[in-house]
Amino acid sequence: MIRQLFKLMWNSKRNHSLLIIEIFFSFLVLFGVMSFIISQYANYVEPMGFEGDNVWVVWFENANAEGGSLSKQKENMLNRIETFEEVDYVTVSENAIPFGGTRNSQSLKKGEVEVWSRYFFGDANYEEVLEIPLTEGKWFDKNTDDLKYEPVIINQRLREELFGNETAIGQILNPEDQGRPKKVVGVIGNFRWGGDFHKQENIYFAPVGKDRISTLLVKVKPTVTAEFEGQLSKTISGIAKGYQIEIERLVDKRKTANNLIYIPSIILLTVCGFLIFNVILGLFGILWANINKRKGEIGTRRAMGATQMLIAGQFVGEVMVIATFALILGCFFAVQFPLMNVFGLANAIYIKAILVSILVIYFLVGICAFYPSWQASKIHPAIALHAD
Amino acid sequence: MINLQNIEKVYRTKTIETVALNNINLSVEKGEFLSIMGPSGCGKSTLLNIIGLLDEPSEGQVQIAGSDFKKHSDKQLAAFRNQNIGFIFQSFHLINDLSVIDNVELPLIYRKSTAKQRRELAAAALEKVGLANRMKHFPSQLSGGQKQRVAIARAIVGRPALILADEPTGNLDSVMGNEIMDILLNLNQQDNATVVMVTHDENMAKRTNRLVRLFDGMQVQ
Repeated sequence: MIRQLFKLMWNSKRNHSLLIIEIFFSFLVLFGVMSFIISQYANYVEPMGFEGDNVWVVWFENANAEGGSLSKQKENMLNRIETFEEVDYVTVSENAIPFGGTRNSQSLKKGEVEVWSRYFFGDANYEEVLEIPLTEGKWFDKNTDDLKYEPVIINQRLREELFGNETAIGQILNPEDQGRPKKVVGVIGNFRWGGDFHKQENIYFAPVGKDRISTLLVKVKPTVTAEFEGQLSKTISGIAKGYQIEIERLVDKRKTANNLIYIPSIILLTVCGFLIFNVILGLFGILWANINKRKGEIGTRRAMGATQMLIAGQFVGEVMVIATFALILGCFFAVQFPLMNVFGLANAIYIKAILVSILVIYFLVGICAFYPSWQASKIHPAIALHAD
Repeated sequence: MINLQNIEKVYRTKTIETVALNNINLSVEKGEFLSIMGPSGCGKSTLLNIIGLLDEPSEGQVQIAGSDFKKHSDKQLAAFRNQNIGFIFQSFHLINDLSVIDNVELPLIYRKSTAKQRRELAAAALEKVGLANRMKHFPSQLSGGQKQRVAIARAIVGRPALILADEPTGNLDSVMGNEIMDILLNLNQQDNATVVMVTHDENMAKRTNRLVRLFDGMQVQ
């Protein structure tokens, strides 16, 4: 029966070409959207690698321009902030503000291996403020200071690319700019600084310059009130005279960063949903008209021994076969993405997107086909035979 | 083979009641060739549909090959039709997107048989109606007479004991009509198939064993 279904649909493929094209394009749109959604989900389920829930960011306006003058107050400022019982830790960071966006990157060389990596500057407290677990070695401290080598903390991804199964701690890396060589002192797991949907990338941390201060990260106790924010701001302003202070919560920055993915995702899904809804309506109409045109055939099949179930199965099966033709064509194009490594997504994401899209298309087509087919099966054979 | 007792068929709507068949009593012996005649709308096709288990009588009893069909399920009726009854229609009812041999195989799809068995039986049926050289053709490539011969091959491919033909020569000219009639007679005489044929053509009816006439849903001869 399945063989006959394929034969019947193959022989009538020209009549169904529009339907095949419609399903084909629906599949491609769905595949694109699914690739995007699955890749974002794959990022989402990865550990962030740090905890920023009770961390505040203190911005100093024009701090970079006059960093030198602010550096004089640095020690005083940090000491004063640490005296607040509401504060757990405070750290100085030049650009390592999670969810804030940074563009610093460079190539690192280890022998013949050259790997691109993003980098951040933090101080000894950075690990404590963001609760970054180390998997090997230690964070910067006074003991890691070395005039010859700059101590760096690398993430697991960079570690694997540079050293494979070798020990990372103590390895020397040469930057592309021929600057000071770097010595690996610690390894962390993830550091998805860009948000919940940010993909893993190579990252290393280097110690922030002693005189530099552009932002502070302050880890406060979960019970702090809004009043403390005012108190903190006032205290810092009193020390960093002439600077405008802005305090921002890391959780808010996280929401903003996530919205950059949520909003296009919702728009994409809505557009895709409308497209597919239109295809469903078209499909439903075509099937309904098609079945009405084939009442004589329904009667003949019933006379030849087909049950109601077999008639319904025949029509659902036909649509599934049409969908299969469209999906074979669609898959041919879709598999080019992993084969040609388009957009740099992992092959598994494309494969999952293909499978999910196939399932969704079959499900939707099955739903569309079910009702008209069931109605067709209920046509009385004697009436069906005299319909033509 | 066929035993109809007090068959009545009434079509009811909210406002109208139409009696299609009224008190039909009919017996057809195994191997008999019966023709049913009557003016349009007299209930010939309704009677054929009832014999073919495609329709149920409002009243009365239908017995075919010793089985009584009052409380059979859709599945049981379909299986009985598939195993025991072959249908031939005036407008052929071939599936245009299937080749001749695939059309002939259709009844075999609804029973347990292998693709090889189906192909062999269908080829033999086409051989019998003289269309062995048209197996790969499509219905649109055939003449009316050839289409009806394909329909006959489809009706006999499952070796049914009963063949029901609803105006099989109605859409054909007299030469082709006679050819079709010859095939049906041949099936009746050589294979001992019971044939019930609805026709408007007196000449065709005369060639059968017995003639039943209907008028306004009643048996008048």
